[in-house]
Amino acid sequence: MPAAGSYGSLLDALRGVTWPARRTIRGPAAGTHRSRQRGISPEFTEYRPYRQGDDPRRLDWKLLARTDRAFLRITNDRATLGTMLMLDASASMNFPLATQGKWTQACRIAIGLAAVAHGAGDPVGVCVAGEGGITQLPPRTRRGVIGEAARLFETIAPAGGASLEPMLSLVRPTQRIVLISDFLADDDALLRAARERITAGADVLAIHVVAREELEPGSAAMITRDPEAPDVKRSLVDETREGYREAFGAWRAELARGWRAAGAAYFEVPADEAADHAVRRIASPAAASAQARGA
Amino acid sequence: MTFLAPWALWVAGAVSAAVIALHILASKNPKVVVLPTTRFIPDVPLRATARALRLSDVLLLMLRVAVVMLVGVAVARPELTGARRSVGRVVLVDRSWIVNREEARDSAARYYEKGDLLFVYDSAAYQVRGKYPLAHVSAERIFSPDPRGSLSAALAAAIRDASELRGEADSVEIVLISSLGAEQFDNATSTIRALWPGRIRLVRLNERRGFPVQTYRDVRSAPLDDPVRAAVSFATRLDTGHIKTDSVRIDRGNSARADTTWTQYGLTLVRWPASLDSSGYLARMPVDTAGAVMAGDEGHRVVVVTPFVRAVDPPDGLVVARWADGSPAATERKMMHGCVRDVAIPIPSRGDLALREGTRRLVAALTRQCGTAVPPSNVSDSTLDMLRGTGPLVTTRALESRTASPGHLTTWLLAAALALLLLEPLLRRQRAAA
Repeated sequence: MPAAGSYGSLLDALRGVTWPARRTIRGPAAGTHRSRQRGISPEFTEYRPYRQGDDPRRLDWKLLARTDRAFLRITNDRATLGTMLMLDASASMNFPLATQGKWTQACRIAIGLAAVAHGAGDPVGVCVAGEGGITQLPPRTRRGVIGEAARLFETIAPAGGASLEPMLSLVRPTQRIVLISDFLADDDALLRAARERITAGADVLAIHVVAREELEPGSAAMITRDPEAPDVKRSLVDETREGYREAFGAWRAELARGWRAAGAAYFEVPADEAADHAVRRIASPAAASAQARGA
Repeated sequence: MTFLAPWALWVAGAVSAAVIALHILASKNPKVVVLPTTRFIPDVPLRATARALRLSDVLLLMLRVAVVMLVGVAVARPELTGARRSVGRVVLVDRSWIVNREEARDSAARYYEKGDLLFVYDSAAYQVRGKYPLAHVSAERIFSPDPRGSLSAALAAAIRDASELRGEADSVEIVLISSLGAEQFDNATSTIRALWPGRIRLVRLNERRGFPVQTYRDVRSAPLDDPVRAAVSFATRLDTGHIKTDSVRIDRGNSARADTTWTQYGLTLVRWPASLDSSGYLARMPVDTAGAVMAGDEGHRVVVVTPFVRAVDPPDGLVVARWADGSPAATERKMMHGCVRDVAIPIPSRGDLALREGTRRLVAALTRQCGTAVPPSNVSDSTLDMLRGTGPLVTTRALESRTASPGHLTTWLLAAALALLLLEPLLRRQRAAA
């Protein structure tokens, strides 16, 4: 796993990147995301006739003077969005064994997204489901939260069979939830729980980390073993290779369709993709709007 | 170095290739690798081999291949050879009585070279060994009183031992120096000849001149008026004018005391006791009388008709004279290089029987040199063509299957292979420990 100091170049590459919420939010504090609340910000939206009980400070006095009619000046508010990054530290993320490519990529994407969100003033938390249970850093806006997350990742080695589904109950419904996993365990249960969170107003992003060796397992014949189910052994030979590709591709397509149908944003990130590129792709407003349209 | 059975090298090569393939196959058992997406692989029975070509246990493989190749080379029968001649010869010299001896010696000397095989044959074939085999051929005693040579015996011996030339020459030629008379052929000759795939060089010898040969007859243990001596004197006078090259000793004394060492020089001893009662022959019971006695061969038949008292029988042997009732009157058998002829025909000293022409011919027939009874006869050209053959010379490589004992190199190679085999368990144990 990468050391905390190794994220420097990634953080430099992501400086200035914004990560807007995919929908308007109801946030308590002023932030960068569009809020559902109408407030007193200088960003004008519309006029509304004054009704009894309205705050007279919001009257457009210049308009009243010109037209002798009372209108309220309506503006959009901006709010902060708590972001919880949930990482899968199961044994399947420890692949390939030599490089731990999936886990490393998950960590780098989490750090990158955390830095982007933290840069926008959003509280950022990290939650890791591993063999030893759930390790959590609650959402914070204070300085040093990125370093804390990086140090947390250093202490964790992917192993065992972990589930992300219990972590979803730990976060507030209105937060932005980023699930970084290979989704090879409890995908149905996780999807159901995520759907409930989305219904409750959460912004859920599913980041699917896929190793290149899983997409193209090579031409050599081998007997493979599932790290989370040692009894499952299969022959990956020429006769089964095409079937594997088809089945894996169909599963990924179904996974993406399921997450998008649930209202989440789904991104497939190869383990060998540059982390800053992946973060930009995930945080891009165009991607967010496209995902929203798709949803 | 040459290999007498090079096919064994090919077999060893094939076995080595199989061993290498087995090592590759053994290494093709793929190791179990972790793949998180294993569940998406179609569930088919696990296969034990893969197509990855990678040698495993190279040291063990090299040892096994070395063992196989050593055994293969050993079975291929390597032989360290020096300078090879293009053609080696197996020289067969007819030593039967009827060949011209000087001509036979000259022909043998012409074709025989150092390293060749030299056989002399009559009814059997013998290889003449030694540092100077031609010197043995030149010896008088090498020639046999046996009138008939056997080509079958000669060819069989030549074919059997021709493979001894495999280290000396590339090809083998059989040279047959013989009178090639019809009597040398028998029913097996063509079959045995067919076993030799190459051609045979035939050197035909002339027969001895003056056949039947002139004979010097020496009568021993007989008084001057002995009837046989008288008959012999007539017979010898008939041969006047010929060179007396062969001697026949006629011993008229007791047959048991006759000096048989005479025969070691290839000469003929005729034991013809004057007194059959004390002849040492087996007495005939009862003593009877035969009206006639016959001797000689077809065309040279001699019959003496007179009442002979048969008191004894000659010992067993080749019958050369018979009484009128067919029982043997004289027999002949080989002894050393010559022969002994026992005659149980009484010639009375009284009367004129000894002076008759029939008696003279009978005595001449019974005191002839051994083996002079059958004159040689010619064989047809087709028979000679069959014997000569038309094929090329036989390569020594073609004689591999007829070779006999393995050489020392083979033994050493097999020992080395055995030693390597003993090393294999050690290597395997070392590998298992690693």
